[in-house]
Amino acid sequence: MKAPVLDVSNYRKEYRGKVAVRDLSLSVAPGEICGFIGHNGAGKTTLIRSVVGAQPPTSGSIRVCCRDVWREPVAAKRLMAYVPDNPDVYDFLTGMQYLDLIADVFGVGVEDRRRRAGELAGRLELSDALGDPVSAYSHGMRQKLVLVGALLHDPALLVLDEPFVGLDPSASHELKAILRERAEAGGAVFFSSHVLEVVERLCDTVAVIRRGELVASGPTDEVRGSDSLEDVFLELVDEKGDGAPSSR
Amino acid sequence: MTVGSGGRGLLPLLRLQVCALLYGLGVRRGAGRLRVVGACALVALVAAVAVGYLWAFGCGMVAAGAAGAIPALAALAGSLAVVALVFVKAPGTVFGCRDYDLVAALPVPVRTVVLARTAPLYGFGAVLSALLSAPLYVAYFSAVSPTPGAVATAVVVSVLAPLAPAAVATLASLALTSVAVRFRHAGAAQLVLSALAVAAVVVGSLTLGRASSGADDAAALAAMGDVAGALSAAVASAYPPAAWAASAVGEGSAAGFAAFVALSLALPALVTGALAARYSHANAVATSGPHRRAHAVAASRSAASPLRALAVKELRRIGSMPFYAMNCCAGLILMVVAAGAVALFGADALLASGIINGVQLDARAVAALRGQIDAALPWVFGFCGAMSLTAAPSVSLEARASWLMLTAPVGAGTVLGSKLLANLVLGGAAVAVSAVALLAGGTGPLLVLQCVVTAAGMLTGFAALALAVDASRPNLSWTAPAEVVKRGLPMMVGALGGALASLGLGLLSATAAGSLGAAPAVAINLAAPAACALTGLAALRAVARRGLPGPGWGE
Repeated sequence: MKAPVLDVSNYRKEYRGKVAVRDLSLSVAPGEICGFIGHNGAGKTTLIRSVVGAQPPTSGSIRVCCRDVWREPVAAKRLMAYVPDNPDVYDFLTGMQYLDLIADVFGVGVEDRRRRAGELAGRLELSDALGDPVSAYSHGMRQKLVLVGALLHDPALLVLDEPFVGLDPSASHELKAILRERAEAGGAVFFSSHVLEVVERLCDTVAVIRRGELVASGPTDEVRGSDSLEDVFLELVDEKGDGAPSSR
Repeated sequence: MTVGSGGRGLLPLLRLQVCALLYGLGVRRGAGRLRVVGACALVALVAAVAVGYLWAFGCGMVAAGAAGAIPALAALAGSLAVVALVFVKAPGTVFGCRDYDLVAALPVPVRTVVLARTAPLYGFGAVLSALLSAPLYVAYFSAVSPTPGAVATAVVVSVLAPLAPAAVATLASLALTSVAVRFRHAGAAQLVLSALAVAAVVVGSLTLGRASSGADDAAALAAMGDVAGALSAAVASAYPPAAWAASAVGEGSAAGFAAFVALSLALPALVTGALAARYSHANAVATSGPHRRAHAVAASRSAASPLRALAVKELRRIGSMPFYAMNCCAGLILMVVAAGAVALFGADALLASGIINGVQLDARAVAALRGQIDAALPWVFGFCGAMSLTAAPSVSLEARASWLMLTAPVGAGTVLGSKLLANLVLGGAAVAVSAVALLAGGTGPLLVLQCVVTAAGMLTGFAALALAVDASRPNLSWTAPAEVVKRGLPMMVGALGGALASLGLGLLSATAAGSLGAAPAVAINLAAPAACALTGLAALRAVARRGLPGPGWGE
């Protein structure tokens, strides 16, 4: 069995004594797309920000390809890419200048960046806008630009927070295809979403978080059972029990 | 916004400005009061130095028999200080605001919005003018028996003096910003335009100074009556309302007083009305960018190291934000202008010419103070360097894009180092140009070396220190970049600290030159900036070791 690309172990995050995420463990294997779902404020973005090295955990460990994100941050970050829920990038750069910056920071060669940027921008219909300043971009165009930047260095782990928000239907379709291609090439994808239909159709595994606790995780078919993912999700997040999180 | 009248929205909007100011200083949920107290203490210290200097200047004028010129000079001093302040602060405060859409959607008359945005500038201007005028008037009334009417007129004139110039400066700032944003590198364009404006002021100053220095000539004095008359005439020719103010205070002229008050109230009202009528257009013009399509569509021809790529990114940010460049690079312009002036005219001639405000030296006195002048000159460049801190707000400016630096596979030292490097690249260019100008003007190599070391050391030290402060407690949730560029704590600590350190060390060096000789002064001029740079870098290194600041920082 291959080592997981993402391995979260006993992750806990507190804000001024208030527990946001409690002892959460999950893993994502190579070639796997994992959907991370939960209601607003459940702790999805908190975990994701810690996974990508933007926010330290209170306790627990996070490893990417066996590299601890908080002990070997540079090495771990080199292996992954992040697409935040709000794709705010530098307004004063043009799209191409932004991609050059990301390529330089991640050490992508000139030929590789040209080829990948050209191909990805073409697929996401962004090529014509790369010479424009980012300040002129719409939310969806920024989202596409960040996506292109995230894929420039061919990351082993792609982490996305609500990646389908703001994308037009054709870009959304293309993104699903890109995520599937990355998984088929051996990469791992971990993303949060409120669009349960997309998670149900696209993801190999799914993790459900409620009030900072993982209440279900595993292969999508197992978690869903004979119901729709929406039905299962509503059932899980509406549970009022105080006991240990249930597993399906 | 609506076009109707009504002022109910004014107080909440003014409160919003105050909250933005406090937030910019780091006051959150009751915390940060100590910082505000510290900032107030620093401001009070600088104000005390300015008041003391102006009082001494006023007493000097009285002793020279030029007391009659003080009212005109007081009106001019208050006005000029506020013009500079408003010119720099208007972008981001009055127009070009990030929260324009939010404010525009409020059911508040446009005029109220404009008033709420301009009132803090006018109010601060009035306070600044009163502060600068008060010591001059104290000296004036010690020589001229004060009447209640004259004192009351002086108070009114001091408070009203900056209003009309502030209104003109607001429009000039809008015009300059509107032109600058049309260029691809708007910040650089604004710097060049501002440099031209500074050059115009310097040329005007030289012209005025030459007119004033004519007062030293016995024939000119006889022709013009006396020193006070000559100075008053020079000031009046440069700024006629100052003459109205002088006649109102000095002679009790009702016509002069009425003209001054009418102008001071009418011009701001006119400008406020004009801005209100075209506010959306003014904001659109000030925030619009150039058409950049078809530029840089191709990827770079060569890869760069992360440090270089990030430093270039910082330079692009400075180049694209006019008010950021203006606030943080004005000292570099002054440095080059100062070097050019010394190269063209020589420090001795400048000091003896009388064009430097408050310096009343003749050629013999300049020759006698040769050692002290050489000891103090490098600190002019040190002062300019310490005023040019693009790195100071650079972590906070990452704001909503901070996730990029937090998730980039580079260490905190690289990210912070790139911000300092961008600052040093700009500063280095200004220092190099200044050094070449000084050498070309015949300044001795050792003195040029002191100027270079002092400028570079103070710039490095205070840029690194301010960057360390910003990295320790960044304000990543600002609503307008002006909050961190103009009112942020790191900028305040860096610039005020740099100014005080430069003045203090310059004084120490000059004193050492006078009492101990040239060698100790040279040692101070070389060692103190180096120590300052090392201290700043050590502080930055300590912060970098703790990692990059983010939303989870300091929990």
